[in-house]
Amino acid sequence: MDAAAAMAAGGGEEEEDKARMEAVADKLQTRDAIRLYNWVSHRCFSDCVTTFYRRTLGKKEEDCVRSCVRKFLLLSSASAARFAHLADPSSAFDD
Amino acid sequence: MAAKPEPTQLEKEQMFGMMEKEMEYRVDLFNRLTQTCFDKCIEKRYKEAELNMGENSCIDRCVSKYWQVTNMVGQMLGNRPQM
Repeated sequence: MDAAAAMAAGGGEEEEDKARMEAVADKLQTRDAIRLYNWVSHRCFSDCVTTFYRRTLGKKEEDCVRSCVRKFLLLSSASAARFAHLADPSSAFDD
Repeated sequence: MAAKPEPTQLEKEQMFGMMEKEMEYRVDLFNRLTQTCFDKCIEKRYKEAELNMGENSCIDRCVSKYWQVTNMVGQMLGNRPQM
């Protein structure tokens, strides 16, 4: 009975710890997504919008913003692959 | 005949704190690396929506060099061990 109770308590604690780590990761992910949105918005706006004759974006400006965001996403994927390899050299990676 | 003692609540709190800081550091490092390499590697004209060959090569090298630099600086300043 004591052994079963200890196992249950242990299991409960492990579950609690796991849930807590997941909460931390989730918080970081949310914070990270907000920062990314703010940074990319600022950067692509700065690079793509240089005149203010009109209130709405022109075609060139809109295309520029779309390309800017897409290039950032592509760079982020490429960086993540390289970063993962650097952080854990044992993982398989074509150099 | 005592089993290995469970970590105390204080020890557990310290472990969680360290893990959280490590996660934050890693995320922030990746963010800085990505933004820096975007600045250095991506042409500002954004003429096409795909990465060209030069940009792809640059990203790969930029990420690796950034990694090396942060490790060197960390070691010289004595702030962080080798990752």
